[in-house]
Amino acid sequence: MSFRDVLRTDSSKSAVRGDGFESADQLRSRLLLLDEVLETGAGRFPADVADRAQVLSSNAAARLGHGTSFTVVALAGATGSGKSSMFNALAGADLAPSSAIRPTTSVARAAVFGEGGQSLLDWLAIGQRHRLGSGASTADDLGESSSSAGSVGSVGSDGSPDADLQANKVVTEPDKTFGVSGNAAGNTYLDTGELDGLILLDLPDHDSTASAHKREVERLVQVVDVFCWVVDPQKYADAALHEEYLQRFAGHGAVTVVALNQIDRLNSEERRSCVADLQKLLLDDGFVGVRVVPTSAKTGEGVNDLRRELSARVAERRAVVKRIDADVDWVASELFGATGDATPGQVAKGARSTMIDAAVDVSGIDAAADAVGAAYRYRASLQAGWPPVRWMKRLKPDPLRRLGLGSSSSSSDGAGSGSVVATIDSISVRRSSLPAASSLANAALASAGRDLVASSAEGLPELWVQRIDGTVQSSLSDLPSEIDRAIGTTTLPVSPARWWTVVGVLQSLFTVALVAGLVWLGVLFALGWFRVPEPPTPKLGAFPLPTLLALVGGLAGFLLSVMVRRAASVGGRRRTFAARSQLGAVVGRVVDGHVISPVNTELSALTALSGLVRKLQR
Amino acid sequence: MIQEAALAVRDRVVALRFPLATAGATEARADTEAMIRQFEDHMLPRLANLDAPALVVVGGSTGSGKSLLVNSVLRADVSRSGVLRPTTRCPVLVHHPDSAAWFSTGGILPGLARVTGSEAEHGEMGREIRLVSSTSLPAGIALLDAPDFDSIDAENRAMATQLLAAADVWVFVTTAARYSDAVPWSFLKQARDRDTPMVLVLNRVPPEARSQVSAHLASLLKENGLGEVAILPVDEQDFEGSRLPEAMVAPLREWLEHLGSDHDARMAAVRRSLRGSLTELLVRGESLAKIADDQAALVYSFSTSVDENYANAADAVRAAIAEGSVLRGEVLARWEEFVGTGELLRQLRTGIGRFRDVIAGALTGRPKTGEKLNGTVEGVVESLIRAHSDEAAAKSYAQWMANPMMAPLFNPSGPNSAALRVPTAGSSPAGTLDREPLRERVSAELGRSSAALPLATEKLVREWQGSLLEVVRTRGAERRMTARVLSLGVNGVSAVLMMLVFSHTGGLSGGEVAVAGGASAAGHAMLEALLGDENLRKMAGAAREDLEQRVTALYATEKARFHQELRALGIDVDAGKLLREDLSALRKALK
Repeated sequence: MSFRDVLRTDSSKSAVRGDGFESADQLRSRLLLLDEVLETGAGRFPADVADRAQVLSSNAAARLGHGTSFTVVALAGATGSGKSSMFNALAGADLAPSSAIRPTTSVARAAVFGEGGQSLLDWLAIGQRHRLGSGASTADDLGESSSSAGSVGSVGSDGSPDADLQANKVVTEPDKTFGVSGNAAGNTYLDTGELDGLILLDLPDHDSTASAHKREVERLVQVVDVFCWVVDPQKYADAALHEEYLQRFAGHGAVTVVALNQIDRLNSEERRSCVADLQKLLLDDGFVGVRVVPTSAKTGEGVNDLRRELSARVAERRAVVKRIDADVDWVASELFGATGDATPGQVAKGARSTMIDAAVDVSGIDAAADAVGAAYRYRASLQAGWPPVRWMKRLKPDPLRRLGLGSSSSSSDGAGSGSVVATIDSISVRRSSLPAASSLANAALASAGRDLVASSAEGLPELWVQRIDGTVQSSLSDLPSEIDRAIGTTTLPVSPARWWTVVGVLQSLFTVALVAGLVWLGVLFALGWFRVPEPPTPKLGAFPLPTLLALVGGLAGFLLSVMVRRAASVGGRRRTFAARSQLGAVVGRVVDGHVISPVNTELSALTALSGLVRKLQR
Repeated sequence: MIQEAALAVRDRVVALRFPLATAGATEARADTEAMIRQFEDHMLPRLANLDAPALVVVGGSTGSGKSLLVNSVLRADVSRSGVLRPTTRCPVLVHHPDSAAWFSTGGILPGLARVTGSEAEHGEMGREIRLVSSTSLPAGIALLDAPDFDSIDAENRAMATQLLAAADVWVFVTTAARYSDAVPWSFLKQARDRDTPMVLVLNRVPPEARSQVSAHLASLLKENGLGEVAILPVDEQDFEGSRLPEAMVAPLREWLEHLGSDHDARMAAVRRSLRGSLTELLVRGESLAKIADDQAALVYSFSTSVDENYANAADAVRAAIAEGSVLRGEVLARWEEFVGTGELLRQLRTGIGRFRDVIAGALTGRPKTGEKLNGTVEGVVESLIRAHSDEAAAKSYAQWMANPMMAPLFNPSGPNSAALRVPTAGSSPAGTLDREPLRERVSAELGRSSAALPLATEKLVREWQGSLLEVVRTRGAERRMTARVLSLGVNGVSAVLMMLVFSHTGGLSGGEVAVAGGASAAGHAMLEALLGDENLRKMAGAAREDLEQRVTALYATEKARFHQELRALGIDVDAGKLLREDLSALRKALK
């Protein structure tokens, strides 16, 4: 469940927004921001960091869903420090057994001050519950929890809430109600009405050989609202306490109280120095302004101080928000550690043009462009060449078609307007038979890919470099076929020139004249050979017409075809040039769309993420 | 004999390195450190002198009242006690005046400096022992008041761990509030594994719960295989004075006096803890050997994959030459130009043509086509070699980066160096001293070809051309044409020969042939005419082989950078095997 889901229900809205917290709105927006970060950052954070943040977000959402009418305070500490005694002293009744045998408490138990709170306790998976408080005259059925309203996720290593604890939920003590006015030592307590809204938890120890106890503590320290660390003069400097818990939760100073218990064992001089030493250790742990309350659960000394301290926090009803806020700080700094201070830009121009150059080399568009020129010359000579030798051209294949480019749609009977057109055949795109890229060109492309990654991912966290590298590698692997497809669907400049037709008609005329002249002359020759009197031959000026026709037709045809050759070679060069720049643009577009823009997208996502994390961190 | 075997094992262990993050490497580093300490502090001095006084170490949790206990036993203020934790920071060694020589010369615990005099003079110092001589102890034993092993002071914890490992006999102090703490139990289990003779003092027991707590502790000890350990309960004192009541410390004092005065009992205890330590060490040594093997295997596999990547690169160059991809594009165009302009033929015919070309070249400012061809071929071959070298470097680097076990190479100060607090339970092993010096981070430069590669490639191609010329001189000596070929000059000849190498075998295929037209065929025919068919084939083969060898040699210097990094890790491939051999020698000696 994310925080956003919680917001959809009205009750939670009032839980976060209501009660007049000035920071509640801020927390709400931070949690929404955290959800956004996690959404945007899916796959972009180290898995463990993301998991922790996710658990934290859902725990925060669930905790807020239960409202702030109750404040959960956990008595935590080492075995033998007197957590259970303190629990009893605060409750004013012997609820938890305390003993000389270590470790004593193995499952957390709760004392609930005031009405309600069942669902919160269900969520905390606390089985043993006791109801207390001034107004508690009826025995609430606290024990039988109807159904588990989602249990507490654990950030710890094993992940799932302890199975034993789930079972423990059902095995609960019969609910008792205690009227409280004093304790065995005769101290008069405040009216417990002061503590209405408190759920006091007695946690197991974290330092004994029973590792299940530590797991239970691990599970609960993730979700309680206020930490009340109970330490004693013997154990207050233990590494297990400071290094594994206090240093870790130093950011939660606003919701932390430390009780130095068993001070009845020290004289006043020793007390002072002991409290001062503990305060110094807490400062070293990273806490700022945490109060150390000297207490003795045995004599009752200082218990009222602690009670007052707790009741103030309960009355304030802000501990929930403060705790989650500290959690978000924590997670934000961790996320920031994963993103670093990097602000990636976009792909640099230089890297892009190197990539395009390499792609051009791989694509073999030079061959295609050359073929366009060759095809121009071929087709020009086919249409406008000298008809007497034109047929020889047909023996050679069309250069473009050999490369599988520009499928010809003409009937190609060579007659009249028999045009050769390259069509965009978008339905049946087939692979062109452009020459396969040389290994050199492929190596250059791979190298350009590496440069692209190196230049755009410079200074980014390793995970992001790998992501960008992955993006580039997967784009590059199918880049050649993408380019090939794009080239295959490109209309190459192979439309027939208009002058081909004109010249073709001229060539036909000249050929007709040549043939007519030759036939005429042949007839005249035959008539002369058979001594048949010649018909009068018309003359044009001094020349007989048939001779003129044959000579002019032949000569003009020959000269024209020479000129066609020249024109076709010029036109072919122009077409080659045009095709090269056109195909170059196509390759550029493919590279932009297929390689550069995914990288840019990733880079912008990372920039956005980096900004969000910074915002989350404040 | 045991001594020699132990020394051999020590030397092997000292030489072990675990720089890579294989499973258990961090623990192995810490354990190596601990083992060396144990050798130096306890086993080696003890093996050298079995009769030396037994060292009794008083160890326990912070706040368990070790110092008060020691003071009470000795009836003298040798060690400070108090309510601030941790109280004792500088260990105090109390010995009989007669054995001062043995303890002050550093026969045991040679790594710790010795100071004498009162604590006030020295204050809190690290890494030293304060020596106090006292006649209230028998000559046969010395009592060492160790710092705690579980307070927030990491130095104390390291010191306590070291001192307990160096002890012949333990006096282990715990309290009614502590006796089921996890940390003391880890030490108790260690004592069990090493078979260390021990007495357990249960301090601060509420008198009303004495039998209950003692019984519980006794059952816990029995469960953990320590059933024979004697428990000496000491009652909780309302206000701690400077001494515990006599009645409470009498049993401990008696126990110590018996140990100090009974030679046989003491020798038995000394031998027992020595043998136990050595035996336990065999087990730990085996696991170190296993991890050393893992490290060596990892280095081997990475070394192999680097070799493979560069072999692939060399193959790719060879394939590119064989398939004729060198002859595409620009090179082919230059060749056609060279052959097509007739420059080749003209140059071959007489000097006049060359003279004219020189004039023409000078007038037009254009380089001769032969030179252009030459430059192009060189460029293509160079970039071919360079591109594949880049690829091999990038691939090898990526393989290293991708393996989390290689992470220490890229982040030598370890993941814990991050300033960020990681919200998981801290689990740094207490008092690990890292013997590994901080390495330079492997730079990203490794992922590219070396900076010297461009020059080296240029040199390679030039030298190859030189050797081509040499081949023509020797092989074609008898042919008339040789002289003429040589008259082309270096550029011309090498151009022709390179074309020969690149075109003769692989040849052109597919569309390339059509594009190239007959030009290269004509060129080839010309070369054949120049040098003869038979000769041509032989020369082409030899020249290609020569090029391949040169490329392989060049790549060998490139990949040496990777091997250098691996060598710098200092992992001995045989370390595991050698350690195992020495361990089994020690095992035999112990029998």
